[in-house]
Amino acid sequence: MWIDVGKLIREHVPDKNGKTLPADLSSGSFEFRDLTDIGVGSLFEGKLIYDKTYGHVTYGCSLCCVYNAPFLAFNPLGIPFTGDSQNGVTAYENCSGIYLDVSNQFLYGWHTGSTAIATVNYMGTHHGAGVGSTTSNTSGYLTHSYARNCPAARFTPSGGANVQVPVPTKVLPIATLSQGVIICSNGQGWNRIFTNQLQDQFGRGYPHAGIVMADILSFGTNQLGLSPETGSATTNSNGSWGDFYADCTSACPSSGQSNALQTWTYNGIPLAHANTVIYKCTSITIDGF
Amino acid sequence: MRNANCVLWLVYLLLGHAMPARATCNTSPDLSATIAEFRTSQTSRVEALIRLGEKHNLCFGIEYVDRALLTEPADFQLQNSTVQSTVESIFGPEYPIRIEQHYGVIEITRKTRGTKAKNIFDFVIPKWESTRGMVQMVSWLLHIQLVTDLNPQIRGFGAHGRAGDMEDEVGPFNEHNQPVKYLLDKIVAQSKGAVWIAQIPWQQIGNLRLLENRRVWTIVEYGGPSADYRGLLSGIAAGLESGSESKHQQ
Repeated sequence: MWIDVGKLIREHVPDKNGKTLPADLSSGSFEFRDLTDIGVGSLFEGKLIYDKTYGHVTYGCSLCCVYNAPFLAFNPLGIPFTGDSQNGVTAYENCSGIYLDVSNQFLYGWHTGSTAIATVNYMGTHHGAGVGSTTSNTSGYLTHSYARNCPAARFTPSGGANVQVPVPTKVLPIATLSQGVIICSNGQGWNRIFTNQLQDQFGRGYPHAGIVMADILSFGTNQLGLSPETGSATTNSNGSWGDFYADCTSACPSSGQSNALQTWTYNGIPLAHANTVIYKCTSITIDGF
Repeated sequence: MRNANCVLWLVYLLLGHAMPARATCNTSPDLSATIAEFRTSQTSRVEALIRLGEKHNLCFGIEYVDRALLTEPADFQLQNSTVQSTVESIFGPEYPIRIEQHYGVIEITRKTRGTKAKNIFDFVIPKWESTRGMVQMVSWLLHIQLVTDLNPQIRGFGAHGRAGDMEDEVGPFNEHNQPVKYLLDKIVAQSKGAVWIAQIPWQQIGNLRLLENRRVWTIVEYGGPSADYRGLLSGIAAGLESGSESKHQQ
């Protein structure tokens, strides 16, 4: 790739942000970065054109971007029994000053401490083979020195891997089916129909039909003067169901809100996670959704 | 004339295939009509009634429930029986029932001796208006109206419950001096096919205080032969207060 900086200046060529180089520019620094090949990379800076007619330029001198202390993205990694979980590698990069995903440098380096508990493929996808705990390990090379040839060093990040049987843990809304104003004998309010989903400790849907989901709403701040009620529904094969939320009050349409804590049971067993439901005259949200 | 018949059959076939195989309420069900055969396996009595309804376009209002009616499985096999006899057989002799028909909905209540006791579903609502909306929402609006009439001090309601079939819309309604059960009948009668079920044991059916923090009925919309009602009925059963098993008390 050749870049004629003088031409960019003379012809006022804009960059992707629409900015041009000043016409009287005579010196400055520059930086190359390979945006796609993170880790070690294959970018190498070449010589600059030395042109006596239009002024001085000097031989380029490079400074390597280095990576420090790579670590596993999830430690410990939770893996559902008979299910899969993905792990990766993250490292601090000194040029940008941020943590970057360097997983591609660690492909084919993955292994676990016990294949009876968890297996892992070359991409870091772990499979829960048996309930228990083991280690997750990988190895790969990252640029690690400022030396002129940007030498790479081998790293071996590792962490824990826990295989657990999925259990229902929380209810979360995953979609809105409809919402709008509602008129009732007391005044007016809002209704919103969500698709709620019963999820396990790994944040996956708990795919079992016919589970009875029952809930209780208890209000804290209650500017709308809402009376709570209990409700129940049953899951479909995806562990989800259509859920109707509404408020209707003489306090609407003026402003104000009522905050409720929604606690759940599944087939009579309490769930650890309680949702925060915020009722307003023109909106209803669950856990901020 | 022959050509005209062909066209009519073609229209019938096209419409028949275009419309979903979904029950609707027969607005004037004949309780003496014969049902050639009805069978279910390992369903609760209430689920058997739902299966009967969705197969023969019958909509029900079931006021008489307890945990066993909602959850205990049994086999039913009936042949050449009238609608009334089929319903009575499903409940069985240990559950004496009275069957009435209002607005096309077959109401099932507990047969009692002597004067009729106070009943939430007999409460007369002076005026009830509702816009057109999905069945579960309109049902909730009726609940609001009932609770407000019983306790005008209540300012507002925060609801949460099963959404049901969002495409099943009923209303609008503008009703005067109607008992709750008739209003429920009217909602169900306009639906694509459904049954309203009391969510309180029959022993508590006169206890108006139950309305303070819960709905005392639910509407179950017919979902077709593949629908699974067991979880829903178990949920209703779980909400019934203890003591509902004492069905032989008079």
